[in-house]
Amino acid sequence: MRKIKPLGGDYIVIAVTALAAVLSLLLTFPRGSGSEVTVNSPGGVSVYNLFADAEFEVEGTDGIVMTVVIKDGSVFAAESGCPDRLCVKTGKISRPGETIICLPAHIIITVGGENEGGEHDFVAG
Amino acid sequence: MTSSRVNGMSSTAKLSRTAMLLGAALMLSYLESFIPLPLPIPGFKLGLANIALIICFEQISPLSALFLQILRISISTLLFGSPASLWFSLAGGAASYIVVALFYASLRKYVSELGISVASAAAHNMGQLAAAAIIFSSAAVFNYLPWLLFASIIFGSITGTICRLVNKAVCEAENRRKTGIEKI
Repeated sequence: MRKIKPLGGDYIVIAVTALAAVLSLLLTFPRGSGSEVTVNSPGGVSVYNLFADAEFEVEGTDGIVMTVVIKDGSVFAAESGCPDRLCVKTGKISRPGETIICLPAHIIITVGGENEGGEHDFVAG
Repeated sequence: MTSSRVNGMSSTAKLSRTAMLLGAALMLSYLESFIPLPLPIPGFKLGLANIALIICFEQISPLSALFLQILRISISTLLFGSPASLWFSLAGGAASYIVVALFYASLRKYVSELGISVASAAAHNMGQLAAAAIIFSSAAVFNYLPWLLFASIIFGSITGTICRLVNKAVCEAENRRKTGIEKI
């Protein structure tokens, strides 16, 4: 009869995954202060000032429309027509490296600013 | 460990078992769409259908598992998914298939369904993020990688444990059936 006790390799797989998670967390951890908002949608890339309050609509794929609000130095998705509404649940973001993603609408909002990694160059380029 | 696999199966038996597992995988995909996500991470899934993939590797063959994976993704996208989700599912499905196949080709002796399930979930998430990075032409999607990897450990362990229990039950049933036949 087979036992269902884990094998040695199971612990190695879990340890390697945990190590990768911790390393990637250290690399992507939000730090510094944000200054701008980059909105990447199927319609193109636009950049907004994080400290100029604004409210606008972004059109994604499948006719999904997301309402984005920039207020008091943070940005959030106030409303979205997507099915899972994870973008709305993500809440406010304000530091470089923080991201709001709407997978169904193909919209991605990132905060840029000081002390950020190489990500922003990739977005702008 | 290999002795516990169902060996010497006829091609009809392989075909019908793969079809049964495909049905189970589709049911699990459907079930998953009703369960509210425990974590608000884009791209995160419970990965219940992964149970069927690993059971297929364990009980049937890598080739059957390949058919299972391709059919499961295409049918579940047609039935419950959106065209936008197809590329994410395909990239994740391909990455997890490759990782599970590598484990079964070489390391199965040292790693059980539990570890394979965790690795498969992690590969699924990384494949999905790579597809998202290409579709969005933005590397910012990788900001979610750490959370998806932590989730892979937790939910991969859960689905992996389910795989172990199911495989154990199937092997025991198979042994009972064989000894039953011998008695007759």
